[in-house]
Amino acid sequence: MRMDPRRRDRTVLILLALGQFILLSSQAPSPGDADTFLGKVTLLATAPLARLIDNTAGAFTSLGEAKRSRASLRRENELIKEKLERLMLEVVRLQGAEEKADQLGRLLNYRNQWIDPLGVADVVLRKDSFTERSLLIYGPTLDLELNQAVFSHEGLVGRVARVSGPYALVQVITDQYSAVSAMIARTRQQGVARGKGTSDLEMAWVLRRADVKPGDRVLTAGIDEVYPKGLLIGVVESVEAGDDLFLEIEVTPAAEFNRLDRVLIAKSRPLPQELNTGAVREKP
Amino acid sequence: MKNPRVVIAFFLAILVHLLGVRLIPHFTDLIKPMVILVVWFALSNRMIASMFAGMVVGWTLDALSPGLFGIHGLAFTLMGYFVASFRRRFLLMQYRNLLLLLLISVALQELVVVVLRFLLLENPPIPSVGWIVAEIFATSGVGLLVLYGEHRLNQSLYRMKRRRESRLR
Repeated sequence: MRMDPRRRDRTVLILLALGQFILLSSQAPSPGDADTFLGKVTLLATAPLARLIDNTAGAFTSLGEAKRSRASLRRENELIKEKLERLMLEVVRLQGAEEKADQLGRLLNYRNQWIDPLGVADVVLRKDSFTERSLLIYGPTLDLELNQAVFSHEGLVGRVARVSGPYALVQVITDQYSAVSAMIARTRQQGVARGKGTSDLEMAWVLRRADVKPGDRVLTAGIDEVYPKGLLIGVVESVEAGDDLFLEIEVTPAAEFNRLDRVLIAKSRPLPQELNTGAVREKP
Repeated sequence: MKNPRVVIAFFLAILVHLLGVRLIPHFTDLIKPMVILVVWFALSNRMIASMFAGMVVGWTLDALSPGLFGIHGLAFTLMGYFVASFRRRFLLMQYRNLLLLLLISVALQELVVVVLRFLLLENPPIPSVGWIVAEIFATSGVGLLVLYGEHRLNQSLYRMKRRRESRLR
């Protein structure tokens, strides 16, 4: 069946015009940029259609994906939780390692002209009771002896009270039977720092007229043949007038016994025998 | 035979165009031989042929002009369609009708060219209205002269042929 001539002519006209317009558009750049007019028009014509198709397909596929993804998200969540727990444990471990490293650093940097540290021993056991306050330490490479001073970077801890091989029992200064010759750092006022079986110390035999204030640092006086001079014992907490001639002085220990992992052991410095046995009474 | 005439007319139009551009300033701003050629072809040929002729002539003009290739091709295609359609609907016996046809044709192709330039180019070169009007009338006038001359030539050739035939008898 032949097409109507007029319709055919119009069809040819449209085809020719369209073809030539496309030819022109493919050459003509869009104002302001390097892209062509045809490119822009084509994109404008096809992009909405493409987006519509994509959205429709996406709506269908997302229904199934939502179901699958819920299960996988749950699994992923569990895995992440497990990983988080592992990481937190690791963080705690690393924090402990960091503190240990800091502690060792402080120990290594410790300098005291009166003290020659023998070495470092590990704290194995801590005993806190009303009758006894002691530490069990372990120093396999150390030459442990009785009455060696035990201290940390914070301050004085106690003395070696018993030795058995690499182990030693340390009498802590807060033990009720402990006594340390002490002095107020500021005024050099001497006294005796005694344990009370509690967490604090008392400084005894300090006259009432002595100049002692809360906050004063208390150091070892070094006159008891056990503890070297200059070790920090603690800080004066309170000062009150006693019933007799002496002051009642409360001292807070510098070392935190609950947090001790390692301690330093000072070398023993026993007095020469001739000075220790009343040699001053002998005639020259 | 029409085809040699078409070819001759085509090359003649190109020659006039090129000579005019060479010798007379603003020649093509006033007179467009290619427009006349398409109108002439469309007046005596079918619509599809007229459209294709317009396209070919337009492309030829585009090839001879700077700028986008295809502007005149599209404009002349539309013009060929219009002239052929006009010829189909109206009887063009009188020259004033031919003049009207030429005026509309030239105006139409100029309008299409201007619109396309505005659409496709950032700073389109558009002549002033005065020049456009002058071009429409000048081209139409020359076109009318060409059509009249072609008509007289056809008449002369026809008379010569009749005379030869009568002599042979």
